[in-house]
Amino acid sequence: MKRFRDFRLGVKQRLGMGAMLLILAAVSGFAIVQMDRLRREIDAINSLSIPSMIALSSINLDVSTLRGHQLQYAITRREVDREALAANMATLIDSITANRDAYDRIASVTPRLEPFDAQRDSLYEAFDDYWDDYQASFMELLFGSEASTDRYVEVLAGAGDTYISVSQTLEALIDVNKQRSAHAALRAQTNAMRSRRIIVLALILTIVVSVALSAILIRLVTRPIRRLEEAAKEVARGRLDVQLEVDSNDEIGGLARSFNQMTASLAVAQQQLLIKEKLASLGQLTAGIAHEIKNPLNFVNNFADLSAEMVDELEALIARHAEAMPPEDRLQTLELMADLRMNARKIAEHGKRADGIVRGMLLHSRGAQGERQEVDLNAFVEENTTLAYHGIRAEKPELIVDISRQFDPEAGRVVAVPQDIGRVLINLLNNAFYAVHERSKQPGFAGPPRVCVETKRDEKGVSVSIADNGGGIPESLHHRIFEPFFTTKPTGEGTGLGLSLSYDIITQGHGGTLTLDTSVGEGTKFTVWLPRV
Amino acid sequence: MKGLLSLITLLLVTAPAFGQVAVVAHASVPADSINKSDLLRMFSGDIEHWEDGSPVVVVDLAEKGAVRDSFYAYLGKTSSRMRSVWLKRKLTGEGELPRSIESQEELIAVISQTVGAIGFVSREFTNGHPEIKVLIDSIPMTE
Repeated sequence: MKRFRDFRLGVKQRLGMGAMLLILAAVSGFAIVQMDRLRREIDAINSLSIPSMIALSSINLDVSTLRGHQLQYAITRREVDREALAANMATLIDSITANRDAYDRIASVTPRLEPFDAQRDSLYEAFDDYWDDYQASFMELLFGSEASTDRYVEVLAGAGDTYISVSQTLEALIDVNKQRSAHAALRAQTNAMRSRRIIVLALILTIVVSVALSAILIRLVTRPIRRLEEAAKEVARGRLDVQLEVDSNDEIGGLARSFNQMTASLAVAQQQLLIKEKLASLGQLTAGIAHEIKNPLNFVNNFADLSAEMVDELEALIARHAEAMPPEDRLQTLELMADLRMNARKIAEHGKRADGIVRGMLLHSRGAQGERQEVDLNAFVEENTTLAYHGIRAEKPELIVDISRQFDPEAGRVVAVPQDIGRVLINLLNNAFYAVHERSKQPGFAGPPRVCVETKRDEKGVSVSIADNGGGIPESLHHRIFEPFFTTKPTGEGTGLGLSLSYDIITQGHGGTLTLDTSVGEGTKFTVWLPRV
Repeated sequence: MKGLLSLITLLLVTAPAFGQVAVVAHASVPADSINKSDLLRMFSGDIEHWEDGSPVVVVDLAEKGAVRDSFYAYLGKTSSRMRSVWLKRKLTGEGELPRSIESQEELIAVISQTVGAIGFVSREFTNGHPEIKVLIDSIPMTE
């Protein structure tokens, strides 16, 4: 299940609005339903209670009128008048029946309301009984063959109590109906009050929830932005190790992630820039020193050569006068001459070695002097690999290296200074061969010495990597290996200028990169990357 | 379940005690049975003659009680409403009041002696009267 904070801001807003609208709709719906119910309740009172009371009152009136007619009937002798009274009484009975029908119909559709309806039912039943009795007596009156006034009076007087009961029952029934209406009206009013309270409460609740939701939404948006702002200020003060806590997947979470990536890559870039500047200034320093040493060194070398020649001349001169010298002196002189020649040669020899170093140092200042040209990368790498291997074999005939080549057929051509890149490749290959040779001399080395040369093309450039299964480079030395004069080789075997020079050639001369991937005991891989111009 | 069973048993035992009401007529009437609506119309005075033209004589039981109430309830009326119908007919001169007989024994006697008579009694009163016909014998007694 997706957490709320992971939704996008727009979705959050819409959900919040949706919730508020839902609550509003619910409140409105409740209000409408309640109002409708109240209206119906009041309608029911108006449309059902009043007609039913009217019906009952009409029955009561008709019953009393009937009673009056009956009394009149009892004392009327004229046949015409009696017939008219009978017709009137028939109409009254019809009217009573019709009103009873109306009352029954209304009672059957009115929703029951206790305890009134139980009372109503029992009263109506009682009315039905009394009315039955009263009619029975009336029937007896009409049926009786002895139609004397006395007889009428007797029967009517006997029915008097029943008549009073009918009338009283009807009045009680009307009273119950009145109470029922009053109660229903009161209930409707109570309901109205309660509904109004609920609606007011719901509205207050809606407002509270809306405010709370808005506050939460605003908090969700502003808090991370404030954190971001503070972090940005930290970065501006120079702290590049600031990392933001990413706790959501929305736009702000994405922003925080990007910010973290930015500071991380800034830190790396700053580190690289520092190293680059350091190496560049070291290179300049090296070249400066070399330049200063070169002239005195020339004197040393020239005078050493001259001294050697002068020893030869001196030897020839002494030879001509050898007989004039005592034999012990001659022998001693010749020995001294030999030592002198040896000294001069040593000076010349080491002077030349120093000269070589100085020339190497001077290359740092030379920059990209050679001519840039298009080079077929695979062929060029192959050529230099062979050259380097032959070179090392000439020095160390016992070394046999398994060289594997993984050339990318798409590598194509690259614009570069061939002499410089060649120097870099030979440097790297010589290092690899040296490393595998040293490793192979150690006890416990399993595999054959192996060097893998690989070319690869990517979107922006080409790369050449040279991997060996030598001893690897400890991490403590990683930041120093590109410094001038840094070497792990024994004195005399390396000047410490190879990698430093290669680094300059690749980064400054060609705008590429020279990177290192190494692990102690497993090997080293140098990768040269050159941009495709 | 046990309660339901005992309820059913109670009903089975008590139901015959309420008995049933029968509609009876004089043996000569040209009908062996009658439907509810025709019965109501006869008692309301709307049908005044049998199919063979002989007059219908409606006999009412004066005695109040379950037999009378069950019969009129079967017709969908109350006693008072039935009386209103009769009174109106009598007062407007459209018809006569039904004969009102005090007891069921008398009622059986009246029906067996009156041609075209129709009335109602508790079912056990119908036995042993060859001069009457039972038109309906199973109106349940309600109380």
